[in-house]
Order: sequence, then C-alpha cells, then structure tokens
Amino acid sequence: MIEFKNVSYYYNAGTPEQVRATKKLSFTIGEGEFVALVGHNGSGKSTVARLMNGLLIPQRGEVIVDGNLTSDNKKIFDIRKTVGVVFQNPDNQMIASIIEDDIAFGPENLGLPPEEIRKRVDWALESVGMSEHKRGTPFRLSGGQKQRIAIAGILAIKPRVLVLDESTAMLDPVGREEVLKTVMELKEKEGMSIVLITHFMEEAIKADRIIALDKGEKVLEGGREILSMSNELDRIGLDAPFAARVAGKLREKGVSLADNIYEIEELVRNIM
Amino acid sequence: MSIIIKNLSYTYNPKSIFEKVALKNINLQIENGDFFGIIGHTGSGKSTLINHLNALTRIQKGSGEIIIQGIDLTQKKLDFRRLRSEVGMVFQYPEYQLFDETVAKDVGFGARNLKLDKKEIEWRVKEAIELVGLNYEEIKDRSPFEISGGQKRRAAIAGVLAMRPKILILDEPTAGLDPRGKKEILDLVQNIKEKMCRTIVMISHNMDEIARVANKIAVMHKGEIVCVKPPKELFSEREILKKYNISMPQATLLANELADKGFEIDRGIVDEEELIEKITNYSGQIANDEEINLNL
Repeated sequence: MIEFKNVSYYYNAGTPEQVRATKKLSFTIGEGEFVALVGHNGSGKSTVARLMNGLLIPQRGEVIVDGNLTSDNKKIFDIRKTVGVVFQNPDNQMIASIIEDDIAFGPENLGLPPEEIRKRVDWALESVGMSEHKRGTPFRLSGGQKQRIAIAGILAIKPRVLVLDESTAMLDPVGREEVLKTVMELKEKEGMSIVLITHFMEEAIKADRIIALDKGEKVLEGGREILSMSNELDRIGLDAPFAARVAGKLREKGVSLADNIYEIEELVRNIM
Repeated sequence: MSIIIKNLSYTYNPKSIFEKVALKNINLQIENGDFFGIIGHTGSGKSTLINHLNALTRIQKGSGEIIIQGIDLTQKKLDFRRLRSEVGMVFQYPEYQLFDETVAKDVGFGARNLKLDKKEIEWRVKEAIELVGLNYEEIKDRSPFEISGGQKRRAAIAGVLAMRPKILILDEPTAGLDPRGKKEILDLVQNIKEKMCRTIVMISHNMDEIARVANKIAVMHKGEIVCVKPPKELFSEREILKKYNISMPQATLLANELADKGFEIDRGIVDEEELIEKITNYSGQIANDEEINLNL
C-alpha cells in the first residue's frame, strides 16, 4: 500500500539552516494493516505523515503509494484520495462555517453524486459520534469536538489509508478511546489501513505492528513485544505501557510473572 | 480564600439561534495553597470557567459573581492590571502565542503592560526564564521561533510568570507533549507552586497526572460542577466515575481489577509505587503461605 525506500528529508535543504528530519527510512504499510508510529516530539513522525501523501517530497529515496511515486505530479490527486491525513491541530483543518458543509468538502471535490455525498457525510459524523452537531458551526466546538470533525472530514473521502498524526492528543481519555474504537472498526469493516502516530503507548499496543523513530531513523520495529523493552524505550524518550512498566518493577522486587504482559487484564491474571 | 465563585452561569450567544448554555450555577471555593484540578469531557465548560478567572470572559449581567483575592470581577470598571498581576493564565498550546523578535522581549510583554520600570522588567524576565528551567544568557536574544518545541512552551509559560501572579491557571499544560516532556512540565508546575504561585488551578485530561499533583479535583459535566473531592476519594467513588464517564488513573484501574478478584486493596489508590508495594507484599504473603502448606 505504502512503501518508504531509503527516505531522507531535509527542511531548508541547500541553505545553512538545513535540518535532516528523516534518515534513510525504509518500511511498508500493508493493505488493511494497523501500524503505530511512535517517537518523542521532534523524532520525525510528523514529517513521515507529510511524506505519505506527498505534502513533502523526499530529496533522497522514494515514497510509493499504491504503485505511484509521490514525486509524480500527475498522480498526486490519486495519492491524496488514497491516503487521508488528519493532523494535530483541528483549527487549521476547518474550512466551512457549518459542520456538515465542512465534511462534504472532500467528497464534493471527488465529484460524487449528491445522494452519495449525503450518505458519506452522515456516516462520517456518525462514526465520530457528532451527528447531533451537524447543523452547528465548527468554530464554537471544544478542541476535542473539533478534532472529531476533522477526522470525519477525512473519513468522508473514504481513503484506503487513514493517517492520524497525533490526532487524539487533544481529546480526553474517553474521547481518545472512542476515536480508537472507530478507527479499529474502520479497519475491520472497510479494510482501511491505519497509521497511528502517537506517543500514547496504551494506543500503540492495539496495532499489528509498531515502528519507533528516533532522530528520523527507525530504531525499533515489531509486534507489541517491543513495548516491553523499557530501557530502549527510555533511551528514545518514551515510556513502556503502564502494565508492562509495573510488571517490570514487580519482577525486580522478586514477584514471579509471565514474560509477555502489556495490558492490565494480563497483569491481573498473572498476579491472582 | 483565594477564589470564590458564586452562582456563576454563562450563555454563549444569548437570545439567538446559536444560544448555548456553557455554565450553570457554578459554586466553587479555591483556597490559598490549593493545587486545584479540573476535569471533565471536552465541551463540559472547563475553558469557559477558567476564562472568567482573569476576566477574559466577563460575567454576564445577573449571572453570579467571582471574587479573587478581594477583587470583585462583576464591577464594570475592573482594574485589569491589578487582576492580571494576581492571576496568570497559561492557555492550551501557549507556544502558538509567541510573537516577538527575541525570547526576552516576548517574555517581557505582559510585564511591560503592567507599566513597571525598565530595570524591574528586565529582572523579572530573567527570573521567569530561569524559573522555567531555561538558560537566560543563552536564550534571551534568540528568536522564539527557532527554539525547540519544549523550549517554546517553557518560554510561553515564562511570559506569564514575568507578571508574578499569585495564582496560576493552566489549561492542559502537557497536551501534545511526549512522555518525557509531560513529566518535565509537570515537575515545572510543581516547582512554580513552590517558588512563586502558591495557588494553582489546572485543567487536565490525564487522570494519572492530575491524581498525582492535585489536592482537590472538581468534576465538570455539561456546564455544572458535579463534585469536588481529593483524588483518592474521587477515584474510589465508582458511582460518580461511572455516571460521568470519567476514566481512572492506570494505577487505580489496576487496583480495582485486583479488588474485583478478591484482592484486599484500597480501590482509591492513585500512586503507582504504593500499588507496587501492596502487590509485592501480597505475593510475598502467598509464597509464605504456600511454604507453610508444604511444611504441613
């Protein structure tokens, strides 16, 4: 679905202020796969999101979406239809003064018939639990509610890959859980690929695969077992998930526990 | 008493089709020395409430009163300068508000508006920058746009501290930061409380964080304050948590799961270390019992 081949990206390339944001980054995102991309602030995660839909074009290496190079100008429309990115700050993503108009913007640009647009707008708002606000204005919503509208706006385009760039950072825990549940359902029902960029390790556990970045480089990749590597995670400024961390501390105190503990339920089963 | 709020209500766009009640009859007292937490879902009225506290949002006529350090916020000709040297406000993502040429000028903006003399401003700017853990000499002449994200947030907080408020209000100060950044800012807020602002009011969505630092937590729901309790009490009240859909700190969640399985443990535990100690003792006990059984 998406392939990164030795991708290096430099901001202010060719000037004295040149900064390298990613370094020889290679990985793939498969069809229907749920991948979490983790790393501390400034590790290059958001640059990766922008590289995925051709908002940024790498100076070295290639980003290939569904067989198309993001550097190919003629394909950029297809690429943006395939890869939908929801960013951190919803205020920069609102364009209309009525919520349902805002959501309809994407599908309208795809030239869909009005009935289909209606259906998608209703479905997208339903998916994020904001149907009751559809005739309201996005500018009067709270931060978390705005973020759900931003997510719905991308969902209405029905991209095959949904990239969430710390899009839940402004939500409360319950809101975050709801969005995560929505995302999991989209993966199950629609076969959507999900790229979740986050530093909430409790969210990353749910992914099929986890990729950790540090200074623009891939430092860890694998299933959730990498989340028990507390020392490595600590070195790159991340925390192990709560249950894995507590399990580690209990083992240090001589409590015997099984090896693979990442979630609270698993820890409870092991203690009792 | 530091902050007294009586019967405060607020309606956005009153008497129009966009009318929306944001606050309903809020009564609240925040005492000197409190680290007062406010939690509640997005849209529950938290930000509307704190915007009242430094009069960014004015109290609507006949909609209650607020008294802060003796200043009555209902009066028409409010002395804003005096109020803002009492109450400092750090908004969500405060780094987006940096604007000046240099960090020192930016940090000094609020203090300049207090019409202090030049020497005093310079001294306060230095003090504030150092209090947030930045190196004054190194950073004062740099552009606030070329420093790192974490430094920007600290600089933005310093701008508020340069007004030397006695009460500091923070709206989700750790939002969007990675785990290390979150911890650093939380430590910083505790340090500010010790050194400058005796009273802290903090909105947070992170239950682990608020349970760790606050001595009282208010829960907001649909524009009302539904309860005010110390963290340990609040997080052991399952009815309240369930009714208002409040999640527990991770440690409390684990303690409750264990309690459900018959483990004798306080359901209100919010501290990870305390929990680990309890589990360790329990496991030791079990190991002991097994040994005794074997000896029999």
